[in-house]
Amino acid sequence: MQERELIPRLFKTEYSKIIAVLCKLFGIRHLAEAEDIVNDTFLLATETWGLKGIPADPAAWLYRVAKNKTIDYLRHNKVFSEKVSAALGAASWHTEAPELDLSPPNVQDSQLRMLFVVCHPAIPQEAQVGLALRILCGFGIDEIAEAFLTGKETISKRLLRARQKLRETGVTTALPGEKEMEARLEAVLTTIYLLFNEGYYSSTKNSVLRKELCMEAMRLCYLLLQQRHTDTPAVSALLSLMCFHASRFDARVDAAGEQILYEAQNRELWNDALIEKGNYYLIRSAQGAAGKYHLEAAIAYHHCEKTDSPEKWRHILELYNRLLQLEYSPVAALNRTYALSKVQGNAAAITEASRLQLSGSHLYHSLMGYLYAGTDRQKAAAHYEEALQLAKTAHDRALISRRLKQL
Amino acid sequence: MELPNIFTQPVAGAVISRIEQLQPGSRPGWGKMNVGQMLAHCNVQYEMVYDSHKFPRPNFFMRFILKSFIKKVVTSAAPYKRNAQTAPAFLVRGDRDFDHEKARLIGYIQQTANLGEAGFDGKASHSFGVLSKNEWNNLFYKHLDHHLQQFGV
Repeated sequence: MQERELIPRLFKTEYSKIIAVLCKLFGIRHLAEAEDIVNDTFLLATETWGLKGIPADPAAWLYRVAKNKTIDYLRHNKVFSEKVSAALGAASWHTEAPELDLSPPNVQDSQLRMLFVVCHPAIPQEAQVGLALRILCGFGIDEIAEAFLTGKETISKRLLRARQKLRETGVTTALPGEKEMEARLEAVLTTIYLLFNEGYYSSTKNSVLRKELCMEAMRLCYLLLQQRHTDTPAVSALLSLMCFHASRFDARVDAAGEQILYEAQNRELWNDALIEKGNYYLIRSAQGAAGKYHLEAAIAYHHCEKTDSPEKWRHILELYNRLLQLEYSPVAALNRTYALSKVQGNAAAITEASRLQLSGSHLYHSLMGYLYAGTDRQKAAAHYEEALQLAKTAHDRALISRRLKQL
Repeated sequence: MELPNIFTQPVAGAVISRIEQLQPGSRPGWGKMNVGQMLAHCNVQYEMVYDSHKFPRPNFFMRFILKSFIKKVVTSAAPYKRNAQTAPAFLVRGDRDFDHEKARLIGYIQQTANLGEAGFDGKASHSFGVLSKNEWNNLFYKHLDHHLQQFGV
């Protein structure tokens, strides 16, 4: 592999590991210094490998250089060194620099701590996802901007404010105690799920980027399952849900990057290995009370059944009923209406959908357009037109236009 | 029936005579249970039928898991894999009295054969909902056969 491809790939995998270990060592207040050291390391890699070629073990090379750069940094930044070592109650690092422990167990522990830092309640949700992508997944600002369909400057500002907030709030890399773990873990799961959705429902046509976002969300979820304190049924349920969704990744987009709706997908393209993984984590999640991820995973399980049957849609409808009782959301209510149309027919679904009072949503009008399509072409067209007016992204508009043309 | 019909006296008798061959010192060909624990483990499937009030009713999500994934494994004729994980209710901890568990199991097999297949056809199971007589037979016979093979009888 050429260094042009290798360095960005290593950046993604190794950047977050070294940053996490450095932050565990220095404290999260010194995230900027940690980033300086890692950026210097990668800069040197780009220069050196370009001239001398890629070393036999590039990751080991990066670790060695990062270790040396940390020692140099501490020696040449006396003030920083004394401040950090005093704050952490360590001996002076000015004379004796600490060993940077990049062993797999410490990397994993450090990344887990960073996950809780990034998902700290002091930071707005949107910034949590951005920060997770930058610090935990090694994504560039341009990639994050593309995923969020926004400008690089907006993302940079958002991340800067989040970093400031972390410093001001005095967030540490200590893992939450037993009492607060449940609530903090819930916040982490929300961020991971948003990260996944950002990839799964993203408006960007860059399918490589979208897949990477989903895979990173799954990796972070898996990281939680590796640790005793965070290996909970809800985490298994979320990973199961993501496996089921991800199994349809290749079937839901055509060669031109246009979305293919569930009904029209080629079932042969669904990934059986991911469905199996989904089953595994779903069974693993079956302990105690079932939460929203359990129910969503169970719905996703049924969606992965390749043959359509009335029973399948009855199960899905029942699961949506339970999900809405547990936690109402307009999107879940709309999705339930689709399941209802499969069980009780379009007329019943139209009646239910009308009661939802979601006329300001393009998703509502898209669904109504779909439900009317077979019986009332005029009404169907009117709803699709309305959806077209309300849709915010070119991607959604293209999909609705196609449905309109098919009438 | 896909497997030998345990609701009939000849098959029930043959299974009981295999149980009679077990000794307190019989050792398993695989797995962690000793013979007393294995007999207690086999009794659980009958306790769930004849003493079902002792077991909490699985919640909605557990019923979904049981029906979607576990039912097929338990009620089909396909043999169990060795060393497969068991359900929590079937985990036997601590030593069990060999003779007591053996007598209980033989009693359950007789009771079930006396009731006959008509007593089970369409009967609801604690874990899987309504099962056919063939599914009940697979559930009982396959599980007993698996563990008797485990102990070489």
